[in-house]
Amino acid sequence: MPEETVVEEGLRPTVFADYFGQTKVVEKVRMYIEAAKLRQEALDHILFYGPPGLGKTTLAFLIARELNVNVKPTSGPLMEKAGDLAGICTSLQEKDVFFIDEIHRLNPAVEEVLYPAMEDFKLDIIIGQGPSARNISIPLPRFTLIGATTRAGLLTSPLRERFGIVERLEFYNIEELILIIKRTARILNIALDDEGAVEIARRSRGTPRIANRLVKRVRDYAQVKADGIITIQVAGDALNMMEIDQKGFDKMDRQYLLTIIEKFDGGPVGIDTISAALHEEKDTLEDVYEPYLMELGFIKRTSRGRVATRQSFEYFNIAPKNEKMQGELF
Amino acid sequence: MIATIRGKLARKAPESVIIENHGIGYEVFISLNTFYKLPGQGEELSLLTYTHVREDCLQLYGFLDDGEKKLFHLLLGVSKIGARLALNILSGITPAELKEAILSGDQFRLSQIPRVGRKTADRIIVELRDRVKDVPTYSGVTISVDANLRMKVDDALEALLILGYSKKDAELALNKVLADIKSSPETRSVEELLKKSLALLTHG
Repeated sequence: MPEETVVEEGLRPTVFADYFGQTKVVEKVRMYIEAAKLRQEALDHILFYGPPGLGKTTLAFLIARELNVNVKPTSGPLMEKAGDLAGICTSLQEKDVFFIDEIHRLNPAVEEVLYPAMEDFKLDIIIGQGPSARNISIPLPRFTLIGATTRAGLLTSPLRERFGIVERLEFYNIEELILIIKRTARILNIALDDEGAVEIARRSRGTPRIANRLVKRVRDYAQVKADGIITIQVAGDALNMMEIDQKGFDKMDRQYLLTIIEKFDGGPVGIDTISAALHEEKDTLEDVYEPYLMELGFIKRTSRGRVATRQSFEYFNIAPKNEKMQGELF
Repeated sequence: MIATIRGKLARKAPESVIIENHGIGYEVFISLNTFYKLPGQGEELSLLTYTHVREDCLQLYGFLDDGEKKLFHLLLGVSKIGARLALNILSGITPAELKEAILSGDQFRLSQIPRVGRKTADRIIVELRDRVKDVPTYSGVTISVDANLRMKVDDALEALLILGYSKKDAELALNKVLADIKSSPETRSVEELLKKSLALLTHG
């Protein structure tokens, strides 16, 4: 296992007390857990959705720990055939948590088997054809399925409707990110002052995964170019060197915005066209880059395509060619 | 003709077994397919047999299931194939694969079996293609079980195929489950066979 992965696993909170942010979601989830414990029942199936790196997987593992049950993790693309799902389902114990990451990428054949497993806690397999067809039904223990996805819209409605609890994870605010960054620095034995933490938090795109990655990279810079202590100056210099600006935008964010502004007069322009212009996968743009740009109000998604907002033009000190927007500006 | 033999497995080797019945030890020649499915030494064993009569000796060839015995019989009918070569063929390929290779005219697969050349492979295909169709090969799940359980095994196999497993993997898993059946007689329903096979297929 690569060192980065090991470190990332080590940074995952293992108790709710260490899980900062998503306050409302956590509050509700803890209440549902408590209620399920009181009734001595399995927790309802849960769907977490939202941009990558906001803590969906971490939350799933925390829930299993809080329920004091085993967790069986897998991901949508890994389950190629219905048998992969059946194999995991039949190995579950009562009240176990079955976690499926990237659940929107489930094979339709697998999804068909998942419906009765979620709803009736059984596996239904029809063998034979015509009049001789018969059903083999394998009873399953009452388990909790936790699905995580960055693309809730791609979930089929029959699957989405089978989740009793559906929660969206939001981007983190600066204060929450500071707590996460300080915890990471403590675990990794990094000398970090308050202002340094603020600087990293400001440029972390509201995402803990990015915050943790930046902490490690700024540490590298501090050890080589400074005296090992992350101050506001060191953090700023390190992040500037990595081409991460004050808003947390990296090279690709800026290219994305400039493509819409310069090549397509601010839009509207279709995502496929942007993807071709940037030589970047459409899914990556939609999952990784756009959510944060929309959150900050730098782009709008319209029925005719993506549009750069007034803020985008101001950010690059470019006067919009679009008269309507000029009116908005001046 | 001696059609079956039942007794204690006194000795087993890849090419033959000795079955003791009422103080007499019968040497029975077997294929590797049968050898791999034999119980432990000293345990009770029942084999279907073919009595091969030659001018200088009388030999017994044993099989755990009807399909393998029928294929052996058919192979003996192919020109230039004797009992030893027929058994050798059944040692180099499972009955289900042999049937499939003959039906699909897969000369290459047959000629990969030791001591089977291209010409022999061609003869097997030409002479047996129309005759192997009705040979029951029990979908490659070749452990000898009673008829009632056999139906359940076939259902479990079909279910595994529907779940997306390859025929080979599904058969392998079911064979392992069936080998354990003696120690866990509760594995008698399709559901149990399926659950245990899935456990093997998922976790190895």
